[in-house]
Amino acid sequence: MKKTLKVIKYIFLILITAVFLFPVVYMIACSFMSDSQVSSMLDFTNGEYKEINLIPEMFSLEQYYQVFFRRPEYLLKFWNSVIITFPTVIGQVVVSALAAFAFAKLKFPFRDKLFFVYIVLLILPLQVTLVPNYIVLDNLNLLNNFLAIILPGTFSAFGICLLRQSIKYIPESTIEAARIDGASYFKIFTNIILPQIKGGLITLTLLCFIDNWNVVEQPLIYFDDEAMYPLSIGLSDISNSDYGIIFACGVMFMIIPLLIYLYGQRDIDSPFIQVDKS
Amino acid sequence: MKKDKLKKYALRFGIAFLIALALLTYFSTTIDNILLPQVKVTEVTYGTIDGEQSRDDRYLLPLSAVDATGNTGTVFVAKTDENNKTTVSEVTVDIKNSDDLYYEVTSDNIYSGMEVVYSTSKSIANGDRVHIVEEE
Repeated sequence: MKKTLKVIKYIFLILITAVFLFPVVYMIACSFMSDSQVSSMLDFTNGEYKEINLIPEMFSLEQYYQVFFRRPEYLLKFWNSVIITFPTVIGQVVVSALAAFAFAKLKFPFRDKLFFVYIVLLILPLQVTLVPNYIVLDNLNLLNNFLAIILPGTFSAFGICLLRQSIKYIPESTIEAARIDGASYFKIFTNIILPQIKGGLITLTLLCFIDNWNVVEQPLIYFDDEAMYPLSIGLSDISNSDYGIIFACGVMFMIIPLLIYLYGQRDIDSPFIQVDKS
Repeated sequence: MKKDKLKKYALRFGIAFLIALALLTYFSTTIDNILLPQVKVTEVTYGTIDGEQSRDDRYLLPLSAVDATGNTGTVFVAKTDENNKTTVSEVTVDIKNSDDLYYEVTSDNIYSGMEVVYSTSKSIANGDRVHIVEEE
């Protein structure tokens, strides 16, 4: 009985995994198909797709050849994504860690009230802040500039809330001991706080990276020039007739987040707070 | 230990991937031009083979520019857009006369000063992008 239940459980889990993995597998499979096979497969003229095929009729690297050698616009869009994402992630991690330390361990007037404002900002949906942000950016002359996305992203409330929770669990006595030994707040931050919230920092880096790597709404609103659009917009443009190229771009677009996950996997698996037990 | 190796490989592969993409992007125009069909073009000249006046507009095209079938033929006209990208479009012409060097043709879609393809490194079709090679 126990064995049957185990088998059913595994079958159920395999099915769930297959459902979640299917889009990725489908994208990779389609990226190796010829343009004609992809076009005929995704022919939507009669109101329904003709077939879903995971096996290429003829293995082809034509789509990758087009993306890497013949259609530089997709490579430029990829770099737009990099230009938007990397500074935002670095900025957000630095600002969030510093602000979270201040909110969790320093005592200053209206600290909790200010943090409450941050929580409110966190609850607000992105779409609500788009128009006020647009007006502010317009007044700052930052529209049609990558800073229009980088700056609001850098000062996101999410990272501060996430890291504050991590820092709060660091015993007060550790900081007090460091203060008695004459350590400045900056030294406490770099030597005591940061090593203990490594897991939180990696988690924030990954979440922030994915959030900005997949950005769609902000570039559409803040940029008039299509040449500034990141690749995420190119991929979401389903009216695009270059289906095969879109699949190859999807694979290219997936590699960097995947590598970042593989790089930080260990720290995410490890406990959120790495308390030194000695 | 195994995960440390994974971390190392992920970092190395990530850096190599970004460098490769950076190089491909930097040299994208050069690579694109190398892979495009290399064509030589010449300007369409107004006139007739025997030098006499004609009632309709007649143009002289090199023999190699025209793919002739009987009294009609096709030529590829090269057009360069504002992004400096050149595409060719196929135009039908009526052949009126010819000699060892030129066809004398008429067409509503050709005018003096237009650039027509007279030599190409690969076969080209209507709407193809090409790279114009300067005459040495």
